[in-house]
Formats: sequence, C-alpha cells, structure tokens
Amino acid sequence: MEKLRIKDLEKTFISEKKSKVTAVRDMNFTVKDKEFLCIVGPSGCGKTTLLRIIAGLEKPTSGTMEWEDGSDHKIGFVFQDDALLPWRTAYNNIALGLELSKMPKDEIKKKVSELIEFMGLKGFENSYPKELSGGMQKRVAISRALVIEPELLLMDEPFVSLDAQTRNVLQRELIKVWEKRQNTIIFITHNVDEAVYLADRVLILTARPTMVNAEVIIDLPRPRDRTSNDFINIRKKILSKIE
Amino acid sequence: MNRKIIKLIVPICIVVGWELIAMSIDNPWKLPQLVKILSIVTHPNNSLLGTGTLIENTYYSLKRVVLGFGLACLIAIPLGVGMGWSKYLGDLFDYIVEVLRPIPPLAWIPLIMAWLGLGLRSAVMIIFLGAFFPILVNTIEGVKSISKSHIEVAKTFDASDYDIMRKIVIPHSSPYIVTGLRIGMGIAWMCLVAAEMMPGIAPSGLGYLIWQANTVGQISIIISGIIYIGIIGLLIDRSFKLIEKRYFSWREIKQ
Repeated sequence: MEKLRIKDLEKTFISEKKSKVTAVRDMNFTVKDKEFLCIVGPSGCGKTTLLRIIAGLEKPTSGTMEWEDGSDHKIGFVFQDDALLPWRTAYNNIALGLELSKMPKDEIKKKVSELIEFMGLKGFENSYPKELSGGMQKRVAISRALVIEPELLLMDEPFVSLDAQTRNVLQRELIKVWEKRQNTIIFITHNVDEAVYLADRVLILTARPTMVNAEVIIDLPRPRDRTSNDFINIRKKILSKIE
Repeated sequence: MNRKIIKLIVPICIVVGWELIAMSIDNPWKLPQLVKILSIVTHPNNSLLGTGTLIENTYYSLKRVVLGFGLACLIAIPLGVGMGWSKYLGDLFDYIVEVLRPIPPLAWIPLIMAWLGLGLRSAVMIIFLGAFFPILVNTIEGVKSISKSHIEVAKTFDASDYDIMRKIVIPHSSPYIVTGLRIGMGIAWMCLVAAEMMPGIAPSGLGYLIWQANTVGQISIIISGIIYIGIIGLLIDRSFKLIEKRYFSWREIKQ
C-alpha cells in the first residue's frame, strides 16, 4: 500500500554568486506503508534537501508531496548532528515534542519513560547530552523523534559520525525499533553497506541536479548477514549504479 | 605549599607593611592605622560626618543601582532578543548602538545633569547607561549564536514562534544574558560611585560619603567607604557567578 507520493519535485536555490542552482529535479517516487526506504547517492547531491522538503523544513520550488489518504501525518526527524538541546537532560530532550503538543505532564512521563527503557537509556535520564557517548546521544535523538509516535520517520545520515562498531549496534537496534513500532522510515545515507543492511528498498540518486537513478529491492531476511553472498551481490549491484 | 596559604602571603604582607608604615609616620591625615579603619568598618551604624551611617549610605547606593540596573534589564533584554532574532531590528539599531556603546557612561554626566537636573533621576540614568550596553550586547550575542538546527528541531514538532522563543531561544541565551547582567552590574556599581561624587547630584551614598570625607581629610573614612564598595561589588559579582554555576552547569560539562 502506498503511503506517500513525491511528484515532480524540484528545488532551486539562489547561490551566493546569485546564480541558480538546481538541487533536486524531476524527483518522482512513492513510499509504501511501513516500508524502510534508504536513499543513497553521491555526497553533495540533494539528499538532505529532499528530506528537508518532506519534513516541511523547506518548500519545494515546484512539485508536490502527497499522503495517500490526503490528510496530514506526524513526521519525526533525526538530524545528522543530533541537534540535542545542551541545556536539557536526556529525559527532557526526549520530552520536547510532547511538551510542545501540550500533553499533560504525567502522560509525558509515561511515554518518555517507556521509550527510555526500550531504547536502553535507563540510568541516563538525567545526563546532559555532553555527558553521553556518541552512541547514547544518537539513541536520545532517535527517541526524541519517536516519542511523538510519528507515522513517518526521516533520518538524515544519522550514523555517519559514529565508529563502525557503534554504527552496527545502532543499525541492529533501529531495525528492532522499526519492527516494533511499525512506522515508515526514510533513511538517507551514503554508506551502501548500511543501506543494504537496513532497507526494504534502496533508491539511488544521481549527482546534482538530483533525480532517481535506480531502485533496488532487498528481500533478504532479517537480521541480515553482511558476509553472505546475497548481501555482497546486492551491494555490488548498488555500487555499480552510483555514479 | 597549600595554595590557600600562597594566596594569603601578599595580603598579609600588605597589612603588616601598612601597619608598620602607619605607626612610623604617625599621621592619621596621611595614613591611618588599620585598627582605626577597622573600628569604623565594624561599626556600620555610627553616623559619619553628618551624612548618615555606612549602612544608610550603602542602602541609598544600592537603591540607585537596583533602579538603574532594573531599568537597563527591562529595556536591554527585550531589545537584545529582538535585535539578535530579527535582521531588520538588528540593522535598524546597529549604527546607533555601535556609536553610543564605546562612550564611557561618565562622559554623559554633564548632559544628564542638564537634562534631568540633580537628584535620583540623574544618578539612576548614569547607572542605566553603564549597565545597558553590556546587557544588550551579550543578549544579542546569545540569541545570534543559536544553532539553526535547534530551531529546526522545534519546527519539526510544529512549534509556534512563541514556543520557539520560550523553549529554544531563551534557554539558549540565558547564560549569555546572565553574563551580560554580571558585567553590567559591575559597571553600574562603578558608575554609581563616580556619579555620587559629582557635586550636587545626590547628597547620600557611599560615593558621596567618600567625597565628604575627602573635603575634611578623613582618610580612615575614605578607606572604610572604599572597603564597603569593594565588598559589595565582590558580593554582587559572586552572586551572579553562583547563579551561573547553579543554572548553567550544562555549559561546563565536558565528556
């Protein structure tokens, strides 16, 4: 079932030298309900711009983004640099979205505590972001986006700053979160290994101006084995399609 | 050696040296003995030179500072938030702030006296000018230094402008604002004492007491006044530092 349709999306910036730069052009794709979609592409292509448009942080120059049922849905966003608020503890960072929706305090407490437990953050509730390791900060950032129970979770290269081992752990956890919470995820990365490990489907973008170059469906069972032949073959296939 | 002991060496030398020199000069009009000063400082309820007691004069001085400083807060913080947040407001006031800011507050005294006359209003105005710019500049700096992604976080939760102000802009800027308040208060306190020494501007306060003591050559009262000014300035500064430590510790934490 389709969830979201991106249609003829185009985004043009005016650069500092006053010339027009087209970041995204003729972008067309759909996202299925409860799908884990990874978007890969060369760095500097309009991946992040695309995600920001979907999140409503930027307006497209032309084109549309439509939900299948026509109504609005809650969207969670995980930023590349976490963007945790340094003056808030882990707990209060996670609670932000609920506070802003004017939810009563005891309800916030219930939801946040549940998520803290689930995300393995127990014992770190009162720590400030600077006191947490990179992996823990990432867990807080993901929790903050999840706490509003978004139907669509947007993730902008969230694991790029982590060491390989922590990244693998968090990828595994993210799959668990996704299987349990049943949301749709659009995950941007330039790491093909990461995309093959996580995604149901991978969209491969071209360099600027960005459009969809190819898509690869990955129907390997989870948890996936990075060393299996199938895994490696899909990796090869995707790599060959990246310019 | 214990660091506390090292820190005490110079003050003790000064005290002992002072006392030795004072005894050998034996002229209280030039250098009074410390015991004499100490007896004035430790009896703050004694009336001095008909200007009232040390406590009373401290009270008058503090009252002026609180008024002028409060007024500066009321105007500088909202204006600073506005100038930091909106490019338009920032540009609108940019030149005038840049031109007025480097002028020493005391340079305004003749103008202020001409416009506001003698009395409380003038003293408050001088303090206001002293405190205003540090608060303004630090507030602008605080608001401007907000990371764009922190604002976008709030936007992804559909936060209103009011919520963004309340949940992001103000908490982020508070430590900067409090630093501005601390610096502003320090300057206000210095301006006050100088203002009180101006002829006719305010016949009370620690600055006035010092000036009166000067006209009659009472060095021990001058020094007592200076000690009070120093101690109160120190206490104010420490209070702000305590606030910074208590509420903004999240800035200091290192991984």
